[in-house]
Amino acid sequence: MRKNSHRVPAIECVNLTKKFGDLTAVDHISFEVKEGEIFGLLGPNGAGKTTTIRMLTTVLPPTEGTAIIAGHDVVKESDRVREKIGVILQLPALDWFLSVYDNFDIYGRIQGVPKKERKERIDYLIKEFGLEEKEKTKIELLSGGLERRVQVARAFIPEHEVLFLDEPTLGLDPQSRLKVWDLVREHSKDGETIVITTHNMDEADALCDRIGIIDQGKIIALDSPKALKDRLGGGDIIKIDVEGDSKYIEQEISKLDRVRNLGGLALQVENADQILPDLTQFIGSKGGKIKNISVRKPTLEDVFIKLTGREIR
Amino acid sequence: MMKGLRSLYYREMRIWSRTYWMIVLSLSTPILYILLFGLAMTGLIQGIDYQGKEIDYLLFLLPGMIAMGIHGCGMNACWTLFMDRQMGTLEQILSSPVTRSAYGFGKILSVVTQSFIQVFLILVVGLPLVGKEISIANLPLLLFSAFLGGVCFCSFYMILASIIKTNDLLSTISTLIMMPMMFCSSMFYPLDMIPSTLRYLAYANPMTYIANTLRAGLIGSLSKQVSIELLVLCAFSIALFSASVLSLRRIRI
Repeated sequence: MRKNSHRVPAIECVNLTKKFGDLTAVDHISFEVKEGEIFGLLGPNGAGKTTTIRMLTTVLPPTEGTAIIAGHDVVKESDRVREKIGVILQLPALDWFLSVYDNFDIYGRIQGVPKKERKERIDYLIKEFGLEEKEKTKIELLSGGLERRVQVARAFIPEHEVLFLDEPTLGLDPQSRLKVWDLVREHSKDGETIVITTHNMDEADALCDRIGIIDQGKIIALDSPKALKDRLGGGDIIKIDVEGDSKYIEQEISKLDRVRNLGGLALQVENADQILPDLTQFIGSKGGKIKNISVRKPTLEDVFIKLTGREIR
Repeated sequence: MMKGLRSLYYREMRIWSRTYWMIVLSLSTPILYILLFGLAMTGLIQGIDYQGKEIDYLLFLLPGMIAMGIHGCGMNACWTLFMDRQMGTLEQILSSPVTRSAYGFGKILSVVTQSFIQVFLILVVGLPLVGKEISIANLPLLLFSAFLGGVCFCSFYMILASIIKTNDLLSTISTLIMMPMMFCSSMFYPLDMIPSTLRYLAYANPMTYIANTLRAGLIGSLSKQVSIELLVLCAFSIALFSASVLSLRRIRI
């Protein structure tokens, strides 16, 4: 539909930085997002994801660096940028005393969607998100999950060139979450570029073409989910919980050849089935009492642990 | 520059009309003032000299109470802006194709609309109370003054709400401001009745000019002095309006 023939990147950030006094919330990040791509910013709370989105959506001016969205500079041509983007915020951003339908309608008006198209889209989305019975209900009477559903659903009324979703599935029921994922994929197929922030690994893995892992304001890795996981070198991950202090056990395990500790006793091994009996025996011999063992394939969580030495939440 | 003004005005009015009990509530304060304060004071003040005529205190008070009603409408903008910021609606709007100025204009237009409704309602309830009738000829000056009053108060409170981010500070400050705004003005009494220090303060208070021009619209005429007051009020409106546009441009979520 809007596939661009000359392949300019939809988003181009160079050394984007935001400081609040002494605090550097976003620290010289640079990345590009191609048109039609689903790009994820993955990181723990406070990593700088929302601040980055605020700069890209022209709400917050950067302290340093530049960002170009759909060919327009977020500072110099902020008006043009805002015509091309849509945002789903973390805060509800709904009008409390108005009905569900009114909230859809006003959002569509503010986004400049013409009347006929607006009505069609609203009716479609209200049905898709199962909100028919709540159409006339005031937002203040809805549950938190339903509120979120309204907020997310209405973002799909207009067509945007770039859509930013700040933790879009936070507080959504599993069914609505899948609905959002479907819509995101559908819109990306139509050429819309999507930027998602999340601290949910599964979401990032399932949805994103590429992921920038962000921690303490810096992008510390940027690649496709598969490539990021491949960095760990394949194999299995054995996660072990021991009673009491695990420091000593970790030290001892780090001396083993066939085991790589990613941190916090998340152990990467070539083949879990083969090594597990030896491993449990070894831990027992060092005085460790095992509470729980789980075996799985490497996930983005492991990538994050590997990169930062911490778990994401 | 004004992209989205219609949508934003629509939103403001839609929210306001959905909370219709607010209209009744905001009307009740000025009316109660007339009934309680006004009637009590009539015992103390026999008559008031206004533009060379002696008039009833209640009649003198009525335009002051219309000014109070308009002030109430302006104050709504303070709270809706505060709520928009708290709920994230402001950020949502600021990242949409509409401009920041359109957001401010939308609020001002809605406050002016509310002020007009307020003027009519207070007149409907207040005129029989003071035993006065008005003609169509009174309306242009009344409405023009109400318009400027709406612009003044709405701009002022938008500036306040764009600077102050916390609920308790905002309510403390706005209550604090309300006292001198009401009592250092010609809302309740003619300025020559009050000590000169207060009188000078009153001349720096837009409320004085709003009350005076409303009063001229309702019971007096457009004398030379009233024309000057109208000009001063225009200057206040333009200054406050420009300042509010600037503060909205700088507002951070």
